[in-house]
Parts: sequence; C-alpha cells; structure tokens
Amino acid sequence: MKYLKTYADKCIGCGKCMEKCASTYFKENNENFSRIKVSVMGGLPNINVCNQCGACINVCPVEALYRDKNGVVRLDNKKCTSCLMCVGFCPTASMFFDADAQPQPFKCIACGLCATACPTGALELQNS
Amino acid sequence: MDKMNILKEWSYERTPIDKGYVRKNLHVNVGTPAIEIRDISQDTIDKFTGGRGFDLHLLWKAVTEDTKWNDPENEIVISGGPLCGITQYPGTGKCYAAFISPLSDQTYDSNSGGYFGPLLKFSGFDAIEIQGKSEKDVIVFIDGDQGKIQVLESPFTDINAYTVTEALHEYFAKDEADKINISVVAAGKAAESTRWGCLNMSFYDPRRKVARLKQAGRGGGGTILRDKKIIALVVKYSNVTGTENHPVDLRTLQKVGVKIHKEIHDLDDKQCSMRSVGTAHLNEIMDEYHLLPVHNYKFGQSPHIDKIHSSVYKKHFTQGMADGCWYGCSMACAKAVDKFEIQTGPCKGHVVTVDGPEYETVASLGSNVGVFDPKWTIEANFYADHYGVDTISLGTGFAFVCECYELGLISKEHTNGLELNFGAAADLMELIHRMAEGKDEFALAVGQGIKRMKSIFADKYGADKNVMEKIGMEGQGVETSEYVPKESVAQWGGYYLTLKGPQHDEAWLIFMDMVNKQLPTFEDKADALHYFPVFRTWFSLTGLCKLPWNDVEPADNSYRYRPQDAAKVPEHVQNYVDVFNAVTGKNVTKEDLILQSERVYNFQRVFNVRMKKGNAEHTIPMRAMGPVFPDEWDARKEYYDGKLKEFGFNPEGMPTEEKIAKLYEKRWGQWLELKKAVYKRRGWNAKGIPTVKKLKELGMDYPEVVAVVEKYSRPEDELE
Amino acid sequence: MTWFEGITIQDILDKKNFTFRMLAVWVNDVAVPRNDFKTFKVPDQATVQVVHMISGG
Repeated sequence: MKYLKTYADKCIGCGKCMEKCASTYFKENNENFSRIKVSVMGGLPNINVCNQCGACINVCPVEALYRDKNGVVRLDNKKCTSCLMCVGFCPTASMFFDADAQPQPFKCIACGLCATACPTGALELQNS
Repeated sequence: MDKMNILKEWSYERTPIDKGYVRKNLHVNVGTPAIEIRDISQDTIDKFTGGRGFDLHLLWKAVTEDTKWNDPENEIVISGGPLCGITQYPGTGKCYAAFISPLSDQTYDSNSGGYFGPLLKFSGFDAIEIQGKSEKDVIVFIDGDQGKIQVLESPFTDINAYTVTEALHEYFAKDEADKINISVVAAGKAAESTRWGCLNMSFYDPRRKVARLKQAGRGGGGTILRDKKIIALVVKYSNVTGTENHPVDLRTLQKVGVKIHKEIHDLDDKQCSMRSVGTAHLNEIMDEYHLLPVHNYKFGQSPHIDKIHSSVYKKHFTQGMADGCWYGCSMACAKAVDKFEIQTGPCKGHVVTVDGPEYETVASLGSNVGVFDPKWTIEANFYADHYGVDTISLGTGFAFVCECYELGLISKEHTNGLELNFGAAADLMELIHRMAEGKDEFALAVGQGIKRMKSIFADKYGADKNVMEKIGMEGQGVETSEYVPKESVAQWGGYYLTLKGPQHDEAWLIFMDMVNKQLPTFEDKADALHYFPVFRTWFSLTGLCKLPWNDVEPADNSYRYRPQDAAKVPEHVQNYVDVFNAVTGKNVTKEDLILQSERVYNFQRVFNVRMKKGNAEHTIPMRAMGPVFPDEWDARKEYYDGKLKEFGFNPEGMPTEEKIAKLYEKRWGQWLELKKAVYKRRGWNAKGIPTVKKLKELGMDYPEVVAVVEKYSRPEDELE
Repeated sequence: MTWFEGITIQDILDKKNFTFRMLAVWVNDVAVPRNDFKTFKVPDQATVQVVHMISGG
C-alpha cells in the first residue's frame, strides 16, 4: 500500500509541501486547499496527512471512497454527495474541506509531489 | 418486468432550487388525469415556511368543510421544506404528507425519511398534491432528469410494498448504480381494507443491494393512496451533489455539519447508541420508568423485558452499516435485520432485509400485545410494511382487541376462530394476514380502528361500550403511540391536547414532568405544552429529522446550562438557526423559529375546527390517566395508595374499585384544569379555538381563517 | 432518602433507579459533569436536582 510517511522531527515549517499540493490540485497557493497540513503544536511541528487507514470507506453512504490498485484511499468526486461524514469520522482528522475549493472534501492521494518539494526529507512516499 | 403502458405524459422545464425554495408545486389529478404546475407565493413562504406548512396551506384550498377522506377532492400533499435535501447536516431528508384522515376526519400530518422528499424537490417541486381518483390502478412517475411526468397503467397483481418498490427501482434505473437515484411511495393490500394504511417511502441501499422502506406511518395516508387507486408514486433525480439547494453560505453549512458529525462520532456510543441500535435503545429505559406499554397500557413494566432488551435486538441488527435514511445522516438510526427468513404468510421462506424494528414497533407489536419475541416482532414489522399498514396503529389496535377478548367482551365465535389473548403470537400474526386478504369480517372490523371498533363490537357483538371507552387507547379517533402516559399530567396533554391525535411528535414530556418534577404547577405544564409542541413541529416545516436535536447532545450540554434550558439543547438549536440562515440567506433568531412554527400550529388548529364544524374536541380515555381494573392498581399498590393519599384520602380498608374511582375523579379534575391552562396559554378559547387576537398576532388572520373562528366561537367561551 | 458520609451522586441514582444515560445533575445549584458522578460526594442537606435530557420519539 502506498502512503506518505512523515518525519516531524525533520520538519522546518517552510510550508513548501502545502504550497505544492494546493497549487497542483486547486491551482492556488492557499494552505486551506492543501491535503497535507503542517502546523505548530506545543512549540513543535505537527504534520497531519492521511495514513490510508480506510476508516472512512464504510461511513460513506454512496461508496464514493474506495482503495485504488495501490491501496490508496481515493474519493470519487462524481459520486460524492458532499455530506462530509468522512471528515467528522476520520480518526486522524485528515480529511479536509473548504467551501471555496469545492463542495466535496479532499485528502492525500499519496502522489509524492510534496515529498519531492520538501527540502529536509521530512516527507517520504512509501510502499508498505 | 414488461414495458408499462403510459396513459398520459407531460414535459416540463425543471426550475432549479434557489436558497432552499423552488417556488413551484405540482398538482396531479389522477382522475382526469391532468397536471398543473403552480407558483408558490412569497406570502406562502413567509407564513407557512414549507413542508407541513405548505401541505396544510394547499390542502385547505383543495377541500371544503364537507370533504370526507374518500371524496375525490381529498388530497395527499407531500412536501419537504427549505432545508430538505441538504447533505451536510444529519437528518435533512424528511418530508411530511398531509391529508384529511380516515381515522380522525380532520387533518393528519405524517413524516417520513427516505429519498422521496429531497428527490421531489430536486426535480423542481417544493410540494406535490395528489387529488382525484383513478378508474384503474396507476403509477405516477416524476422524472426530474428528463423533465417528464407520466401516469402509467399499473401491471402489478401483487401490489404490496416490497414487490412494487423493488420492481420499480429496477424498472426505472438504467443499471444497479442508478437505483439510488429513485424513490418509491407505496402502500399495500392492508391499506385497502383498513383505515390504518401507511405510505412507505423508499431509499436504495447500495451495499445491501435492496430497497429500504421508511414510512409516513400514521393517520391513514396509505388508505387514501389506495382509495385513489394509486399503486405508487415514483421520483427520479440523478447525480446528487449536495448543493442542489444552492445555499447562500456553504462554508457555514459545512462547518456546522462537520461539528455535529464529529460530536455523533465521539459521543453516540455513550449517549443513545443510535448508530448501533437505533430508537430501540429505549426498550429497557421505558420499562425501568414504567413507561413501556404492556397489555394495552395496563402496566408500564414487564418481567419479560430481558427478552426484548436492546442488547437482544442489537444482535439482530447488522452493525457498522451506513444506515442514514438520507445522505449525510451520521445519526444513522435506521437499523435493519438482514437475511431474515419469513415464517408465515405469502412470503414464507423468503430471506429478506427488514427495516427496523424501531422502538415504537418493539412496543406496539411486542409488549403492548404481550408478545416478547423479537423474531415475531421483526416478522410482524415486515408484513406491516409490506401490506402497507402502520405498526403503531396495528399494535395499539390489536392490544385493544386482546383486552376485549380477555374480558370476554368478544368471543372466539366473533373472531372467526382466533384466540386473541395477550401473547397469542400465532393468532395475532394470522390476523395481520387476514387483514391483507380483506375478506374476513372480523379482520375488517378491527381495521376500522379503535374508535369505530367500539361501536362495531357493541352493535354486532353486544360488547359493553362503557368498558371499551375506558380501555380504548385512542384520542380524536387516532391510536395512541407507545409510551404509557398515565403517571404524567403533562404527558396527558402531550398526547391528548395535540393537533392531530396522540402521536409523540408534538410533545414528549414524560421525563420532564414525572421523573424530573420540573413542571410543578399547571401553568408550568401549560408553558411546556406550549413551547415543546411548537418547537418540535418546527422540524416539520423545514425537512428536518428531530433526532439529531436531542438524541445526541454536546459533551458540555448538561452542565453548561440550567436544567430547564439544557433540555432544549441550546447549542443544537443554534445549529439549526445557523443552518437555516446559511441555506436561505435569511437572518432568523431562535425566537423566529418559534414564530414560524406557531403560525402553522394555529392555522392547523383552525383547519381542524373547520373540518369538525366547531367540535374539534380533545378526548382522553380513562386508561390513559390511571388504573381501570384492580390488577393494575395492585401491580403498584404502594405507589397508587400513595397517590390517593396525596389527594387527601385514606386508602386503608377501601375496596380497590373505590380507590380507582376516587383517583380517576380527582385526576379528571386535573385534566380539565390542565386543558384550560393549556388553551389559555396557547391563546385559544375554552373550546380550543384560536382567538382572532391570536391569529392577528401571528399574521395568520386570513379572511377564510377568521371566518371559521368567528363562525364557531361564542362569547361565553372566551378565556381571558 | 437517607444521607451517609461519602454518598456519591451515583449512589443516589442507583437508589432511585435512574438508569437513563443522559442525565444532568445539579447539587446546590452547581452542575456536576457526568464523568464525576461516581466520585462526587454529596454534602448533607444538599439539594440534588436530577434532570433527564428527554430524547426519543
């Protein structure tokens, strides 16, 4: 299964991951549109990104959430009814939403672009 | 299924929803057949808000004061409301069906989950009116995708709900994935032969691959559907995105929605366990508090409660399924029993998915008739839905029949061989089948409902009418729902001072009165009987389900607010204000919600006064107010002796019959005081007719409404 | 009911058979969170108000 592995101890809070993600998928450098969120908690960097656990899959009323051939949990926007139950039920609060981006929520799809953009190696695309 | 014959077809241009409203309603006359698309005015929106409000407004204009339930001009009107069809908040797919009821001969309004309300609205109609009567059985199809309305000739020989619903999902879907875009309204055979017909409304479950049935159960809507020779109403609308309502402020909607989704995720297991057992979490709680109806409400508790404990039902309900009855419902109370093998009747041997049982059915087709067998209840639930009959009316009606049988008021000869003691599981199930078959005279009599059964049993079988009046749990002609009201003065009012009859969606005050002792004076009770019915019925105007209001509460609710305020769950009320404003762009306050509801509440009361020619009387049976027979007194002897002492009597040495009579006399006095206090608080006169002053206050003083009030109000009935 | 040294809110609820889960308890006009029912000791002569958060229907 492909997923994004994080090393918060290497993070310097530069925000390049969020910039790359939002610009790629929503064509706008807006942190709120990023599928990876870096913040500071208790003085230390905190990286919140989906770990592909799949807890959201059964919550969706229209089966819009599924695992692709790499085991990555994907959201089919065409099926999604933007109810956001997956957001409320995500155990790591890693399903994001912003009404200005689109009605549907969005999440990490393990594409690895942020890992490439990260200057310190705090993000790594892995296969488990 | 072969291609159906289209009798008539019309094209229309679908109007999109603007901030929660389409501003159009569809009128269908199945007699002609003809359709008309009519505008909904701003005044209607301002005064009636939507949902049940729109239904009653349209129904008023369709009928006259002489209209009977089975006249062609009676209508079934169905509407969701401005919030119906949003997905971001739980419980937002509800619609209300209103009609002149075969049971009460006045208005009845009944709510249902399922996809019909939202898909109807997305197809371009805030409401649908069905009027007239067809000559042959028809299906009405609203195709919101193609902009087409069709009246089709029904090909069905088996007209029962599961058969019809599954077949129509299959017929109108282009493939399996398309079935979720359809909803079917259907009744069944027992809706033809009884006054208890329900309106099943479907939604397709993609994981179970079955059509699930929710119900606008009460009041006899299904009976009217079949009287009009309608087999089904079908609506189709594809590609639901969740923004069909074009809300003004999606950001706020999302924020509030996610907050409560998370709240339910974190707290439901510790609170009401809706996601795992649905409303059946109440079984043992009601029993604990003597509120579970046992043997026609004789008792509130049973030693057999362990057999119907929620943990027993939990084993039958498949866990972990996405069980919302509209998209976005994280409350997910719609539990189902899967792979259930039917034991009796025409579906014997079939392995099915049964929707429910909900608490009401666990009690009605369970403890109330003395059957403590979940599998029996599940099968009875299945057949009630399939045959198109309301489980509450069925259970409470059967409980009455059983007690009449036990008392010897009716005999085995009258019942055509059925031995209808409490607990007679096999014979009670057989009675359900005979109702659907529609040929057995006794089954047909039972299906007339308790109010008419009393007359039929007295006239045909020589049964004692006085006794039946005491034990027949109906009010205004409608069967009581499944909570024992006898020990709560506020709940007498909660059930029997309602607009439509003893159904719990207007008020549910038992806990507040009896257990909390929060309502000590009649004025306090009257105030609660003003606020709660008015607040609760607000949900009926907007397309909302009430469960996420108070069947889950924020973690700090119980200690952040004073108790009386905590009961109203202020944060959730604020959620509803925020959601309403976010969708409609309005700027309402909590007080405005009450005003919206109070308008329709009073309008409906005048409507009922109109239909009852001034005599819309609130009746209450003796059984609803206390013990009728000695065994009921003796089951809680210390408690009831104590109650008698509170009235200043000494129960020592008093025969039990005398104790019963004395308590009833005192309680009857309390009922009269309560009624007066409530009417006064509501701004009504002594006959429960809203005053012109009240109507003017609410802006509901339309000439035709004032005319009814003036026609039936007398100066001597004024309460101020 | 009879007070005893160390009586907790949970003791009172058990005695009165208040098994409903959504309860709000106020002791001498101060709200007590549900998590504290088993440990909160009720003083003698205290006014205890138990409110059931009505649900269902």
